[in-house]
Amino acid sequence: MEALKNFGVNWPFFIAQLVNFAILFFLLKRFLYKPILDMLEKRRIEIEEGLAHAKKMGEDAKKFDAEHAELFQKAKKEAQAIVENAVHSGEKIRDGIMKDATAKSQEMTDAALLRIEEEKRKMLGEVKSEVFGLASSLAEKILREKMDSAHDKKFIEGLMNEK
Amino acid sequence: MHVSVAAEQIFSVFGIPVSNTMLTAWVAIFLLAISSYFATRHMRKIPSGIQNFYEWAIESLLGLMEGFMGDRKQTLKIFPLAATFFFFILVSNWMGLLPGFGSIGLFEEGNLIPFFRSATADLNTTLAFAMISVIIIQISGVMALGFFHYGKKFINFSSPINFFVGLLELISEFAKIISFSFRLFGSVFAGEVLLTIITGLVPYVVPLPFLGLELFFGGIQALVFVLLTVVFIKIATTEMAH
Repeated sequence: MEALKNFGVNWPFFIAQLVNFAILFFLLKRFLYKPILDMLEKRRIEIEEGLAHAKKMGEDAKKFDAEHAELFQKAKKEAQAIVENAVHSGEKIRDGIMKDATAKSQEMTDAALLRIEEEKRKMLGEVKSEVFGLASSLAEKILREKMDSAHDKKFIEGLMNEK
Repeated sequence: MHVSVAAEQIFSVFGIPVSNTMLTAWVAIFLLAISSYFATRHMRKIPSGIQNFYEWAIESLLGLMEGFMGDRKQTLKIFPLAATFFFFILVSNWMGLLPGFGSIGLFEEGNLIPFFRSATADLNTTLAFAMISVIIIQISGVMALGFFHYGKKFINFSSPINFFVGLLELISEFAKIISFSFRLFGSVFAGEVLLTIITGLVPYVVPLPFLGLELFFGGIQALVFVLLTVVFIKIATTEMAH
């Protein structure tokens, strides 16, 4: 103890430094260690959560991409099928219409031909009767001069029947 | 030139003597408390300025201690104590290098009584620190292993050899107080004496490298004190191999 006294140790000073240390300890604990350690821990947790979140987002994006590609492929196939179908049915319709149109035109042509034939026959008949009329009246005029009527009549009738 | 190993009393408040090292200890406490108050007054998620500095200091110190302890939970338990040692010793050591320390004061009986003297250049302070450290080491040992189990390390009648080893252990605990206190005190005090002498011989430029060295030693001593405390706590709380 004497030796310590030589180095300036005296109990009031010693106790004062103990108290000083205790004061600093509580001050720093309250104002420095606690807030900073809490903040470090909070930040660590936040970073961990952020990393986990980012990882999940990445996985989600990958999954979404895959789904997207699959969907796209499916849609493409479907669209192709629809187009093929449309072309097919279009062709069918076109063929139907063509067939119909040909049939109709054939019918119309037939009808027209028939009518033309009929008209022709009718006209021929008319022409014939007119020509007969004209010829007989002409012949009558001519023959009146040369033959008697009774004879003529017989002759003409014979001619007429001959035909 | 007069060099006093002991801290000098400069005045007394209500009959309590106040030494120059107590005064600087208060200044150190005031500086640390104020700066930490401003550092943590508005805690920000993205730190800047003094908050950033303290976060860096605390995180590095914690990492260093964790390396010795190997267990984060245990490290966090003793962290406030160890970190207070570190900051108090570091600030005191470096304050002793400021101009005016040991050079401004009153003459009494022909000797200069300086107003400021680094708190760690006083055996009272370092002895107080050493006592706290060793007592905390014992308490940690008892808390980790149980009173009787820990006590067996020192008082052991199982065999003459173990009894003798226990006696040595007991002595080494007291030796820790001495080595803790005199290491720190000796280093800081010798550094200040060295600077005084060099400055007395060549006042300009030449003391600069020594100032730099003292800055370095001040940091090393603070770290040594803290790490020794941590290591001793680690040893005290670890089950002894039989």
